[in-house]
Amino acid sequence: MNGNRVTMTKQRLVHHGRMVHLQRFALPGIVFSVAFGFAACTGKQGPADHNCPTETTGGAGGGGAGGTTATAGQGGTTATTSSTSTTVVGGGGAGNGNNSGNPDNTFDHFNDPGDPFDILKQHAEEGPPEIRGRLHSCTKLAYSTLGEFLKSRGVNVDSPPAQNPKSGGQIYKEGKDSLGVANYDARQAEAAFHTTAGATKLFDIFVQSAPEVIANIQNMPACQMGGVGKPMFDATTGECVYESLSCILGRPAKLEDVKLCNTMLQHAQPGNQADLELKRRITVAAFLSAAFTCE
Amino acid sequence: MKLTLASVSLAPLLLLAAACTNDDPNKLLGSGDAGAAGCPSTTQTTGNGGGGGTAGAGGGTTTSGTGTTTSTPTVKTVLDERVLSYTEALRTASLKLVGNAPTLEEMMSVENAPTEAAKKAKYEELVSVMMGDVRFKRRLVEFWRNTFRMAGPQAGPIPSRDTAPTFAARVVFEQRPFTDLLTATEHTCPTFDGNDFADGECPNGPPGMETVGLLTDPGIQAQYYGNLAFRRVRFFQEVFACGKFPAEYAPDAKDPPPIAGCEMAQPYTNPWDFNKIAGHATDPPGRIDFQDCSSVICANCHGTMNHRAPIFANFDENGMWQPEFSVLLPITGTPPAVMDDFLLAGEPTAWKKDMPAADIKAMGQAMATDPAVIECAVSRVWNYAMSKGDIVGDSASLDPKVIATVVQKFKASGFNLNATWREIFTHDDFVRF
Repeated sequence: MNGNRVTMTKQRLVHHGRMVHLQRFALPGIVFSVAFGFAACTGKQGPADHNCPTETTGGAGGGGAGGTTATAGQGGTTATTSSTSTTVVGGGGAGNGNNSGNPDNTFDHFNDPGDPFDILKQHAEEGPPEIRGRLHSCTKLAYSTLGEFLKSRGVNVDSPPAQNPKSGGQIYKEGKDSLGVANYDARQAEAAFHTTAGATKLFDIFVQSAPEVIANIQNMPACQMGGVGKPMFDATTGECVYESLSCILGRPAKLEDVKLCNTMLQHAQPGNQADLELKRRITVAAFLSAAFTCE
Repeated sequence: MKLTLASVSLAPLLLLAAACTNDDPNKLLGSGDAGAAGCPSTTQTTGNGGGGGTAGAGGGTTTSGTGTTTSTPTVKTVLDERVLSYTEALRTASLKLVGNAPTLEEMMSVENAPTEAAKKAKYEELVSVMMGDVRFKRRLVEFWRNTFRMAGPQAGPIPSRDTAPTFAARVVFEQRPFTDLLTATEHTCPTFDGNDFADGECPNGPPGMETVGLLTDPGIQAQYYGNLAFRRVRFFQEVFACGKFPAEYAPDAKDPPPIAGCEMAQPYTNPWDFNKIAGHATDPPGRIDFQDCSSVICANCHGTMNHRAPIFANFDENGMWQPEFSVLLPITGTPPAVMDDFLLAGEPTAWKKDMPAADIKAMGQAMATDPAVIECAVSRVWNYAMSKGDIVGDSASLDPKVIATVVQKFKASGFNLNATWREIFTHDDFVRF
């Protein structure tokens, strides 16, 4: 926890309780999103495909001893080995409530909560009741809210065309259960918090929605000032546009947001437009994942 | 330490003091009790001179050559590390109030406000706008659906499960007293077409008490139908009192009662007379032994449950009130329950030990005057705003001290929960991250 607090003190972005949840989902989410993007390169393209990092070593097999980790590497649905996925946030490993994360081939994530003793332990970490109650925590976006947000940022959620791989809208519409919708016949409310499956599904949605967001954000009323919108990336410089970045974050972007955004784009191979497009998608997805893991 | 004030420049002290004004957006942290970082909370100066002192982080005592300055130690907490941010507040408020992130123009209107006071004013203006938006109605309906864990249209004999959350949403949106949910005598089954509420009636109670807020809602009674009406009892306890059973606690209850054969069991902690709860030893005997204590003391919960359940036992499987008890007993043959299965003859029904409720109307009135129910209403909104999850289902318990002032305002407003929503979404704690 001390480590968390140091991070929080330096960045002063979010409060402690929220940070705890961010560490569990959002930050691994960024890692996962990035890994996902590169993982999507495996399998279909030839070895000469420069869109994919050469370090990637996905593919079949790899079931770890004890079954805690496996690298499927099929169609990019599982984070595979990548040089970009080695930045593991959080403790990880068995014994601390996290899934055992092999830093080389999976993202380290917190296991689904539910055990009341785990909840009590988490409460204890967040501080005494009179403190904890005054801090924002991290509930997931309501399913309907996620849909409205995606629509307002340019994603076709209402009638997404069938495609392979699935679009963000398709995954959204088909992912209700993973995303924790209510089951009122069973007297169950919509889940307030993510499960690991739900968080992963959310990241899938953002990754697959990114192309639509990039293409449409300029024309979305929610992202316009005085009826005038801006593109996600500047047509001349190729850099991230402050207004559009703000719009996908849901709050005004900070200087460090813009810098991080541009830094991610700079990892594109010079002169390789396809790689640049890939990096742009990953960048947008990573920001969406980080911003909307919590409500 | 030999450090004296004489060796310390006063300039940093003045800067420190200046940093503790109300205009400092990062001062806080905490509305007073936690103290501001680096700001002495209370200072007493003794002696003749010394020129004041500095508490520094965490407070402390500084001794000068000619005087002693003592400040009460201030305990820094994580609250002190929060940062005021109206743009972050707008983001989360918008997601919760209207179900979408704010627009770029909304974000920038707060961001570009010239002063913190102007940002605050703009943010609060936007909260008011959002709470007047039709999307807020939809969010309220969704909020109450999740709170009640029910929704769905009428289907054959199954009544609408939408009316209860819709009624609750309407009461909040239209700034009616929250207690209407428990006492209203008309329009308790409205409909909502996605934009507007429309009146709806669902008389469903005993003669003269056909409509008693949500207590006679057919949807609730159907959704929570179960043996001995205990599922309904649990619903009203958890949703409106924000706590699981046992609902009442009396540490002195053990001495007496005489619980024959229960010497090895846990203490009896329910305030009701143990011997008035139905059991095999009562006369006439109850068909379920609520006086059993072979493993746990059943009556610790059932002392209260059995005093409430008969009120809800006349509603049948489809939630419709019937002249006779219409819930079953989970024994061979599943016969209908009778009063002797709950309580001894003559034992009154009640919401709590000191809140008698002879009928369903009195039950609603008792609930409406229960401080726990009033506090629960505020707690649920607070937890929603602060992303805590359900206070019962997610074990998101809340220290009453945290919301004490909000509860006071809620009471003073005539239980206007709409005002409470606004109060919480503009609260000092809500806008700090």
